[in-house]
Amino acid sequence: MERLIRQSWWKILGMILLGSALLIALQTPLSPGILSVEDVSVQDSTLEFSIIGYNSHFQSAENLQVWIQDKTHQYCAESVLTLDDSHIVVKMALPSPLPSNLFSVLINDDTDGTLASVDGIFIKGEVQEEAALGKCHQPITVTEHDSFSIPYRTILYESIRNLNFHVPMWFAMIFLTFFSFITAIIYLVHGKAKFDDMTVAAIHVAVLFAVCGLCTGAFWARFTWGAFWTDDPQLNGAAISTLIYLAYFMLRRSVQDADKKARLSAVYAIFAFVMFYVFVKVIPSMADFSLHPDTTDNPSFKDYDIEGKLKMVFRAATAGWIMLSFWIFSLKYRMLSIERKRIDNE
Amino acid sequence: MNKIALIALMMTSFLSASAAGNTMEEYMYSSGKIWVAIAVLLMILLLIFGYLWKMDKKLGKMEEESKN
Repeated sequence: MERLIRQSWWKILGMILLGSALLIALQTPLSPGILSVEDVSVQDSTLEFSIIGYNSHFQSAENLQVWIQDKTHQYCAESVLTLDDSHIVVKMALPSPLPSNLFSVLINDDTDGTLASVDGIFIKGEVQEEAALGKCHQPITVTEHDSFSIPYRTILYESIRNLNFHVPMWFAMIFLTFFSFITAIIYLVHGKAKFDDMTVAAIHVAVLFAVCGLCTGAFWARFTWGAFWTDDPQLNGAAISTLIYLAYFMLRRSVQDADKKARLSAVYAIFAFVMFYVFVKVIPSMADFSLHPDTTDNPSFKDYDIEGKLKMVFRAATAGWIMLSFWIFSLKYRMLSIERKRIDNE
Repeated sequence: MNKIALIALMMTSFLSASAAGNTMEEYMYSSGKIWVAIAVLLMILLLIFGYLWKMDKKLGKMEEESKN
């Protein structure tokens, strides 16, 4: 471990990984998507609405096809007026009789692939569930957008890039707290002072990353969930865990005897990691309600990322942030061991 | 400790400004919320730099003590 801390290959590797991942995460464009469906109007038996696209290529793309659909019916647009790359006006025959009031709006073209606005249009009228099947003159084609891009999600939009900034903070914290859990056990078994120093340094840096995670999470939540702080079990669990780890330093300050201090705090560090796991992983997975992805019934980010485009960038970013956290930990640890040597000499 | 307090004050004033002022909030929602991602990255860098700054000062103090 001592030797690994002094080696520089993993620091260089970490910085290359983090640097390239952040660059890719910031400069890769978002996939095209439908921003909104607006100006829905029904006149006689004609339905008219306009579609605002995001990063779309309505003007330059070929074979533009627009249709609306519910679970079983599809109705194609009759005329599509392209105003610019992100703005089209669609006219079509009003489905009669209406099979439902809510329809998804879909667009397919050769450049963007298939874009969907799920339940994007609401049409007033009486619903007859056994309506005739819709008519489309051309067969409908569904294609994937195949260039390298970040998945487009409504509400998140560009802030989906935070996946590479906010989430790895917690991975770095989990890594360092797990490390402190191991070193605390080794300290209790062997009683070597350097493992106590490692535990202190790891928890110190883990708290830094927890604060980073909390601040960035609160800010991201403000612009996606609508509030800085919510009832989310994972958020509150993470906040409680941060407080538990802050109490570790209080415990160390309150014990005078050096040997007793090290042993007591090692026991506390083991306990704290178990509590951290319970608060961040076990309780959120049992809760009825959660805003975080991949807890309770929420979909994970993996489900949006069909072709795994995000996954590689995310993995590189996570590895990079973890290596950065370990680097900062090693600096802190070296400082602590110098201080210990000085005290021992006196 | 003063520096951490200063950074915390800066952060909270930044957050409250974005909560109270409409222009700041509109700015965050503009361009597909890209500024949320940039602000989050800057926040992380600021906190890590603050931590390194504090560490730097502590190391300076240790150097002073070892000289005496």
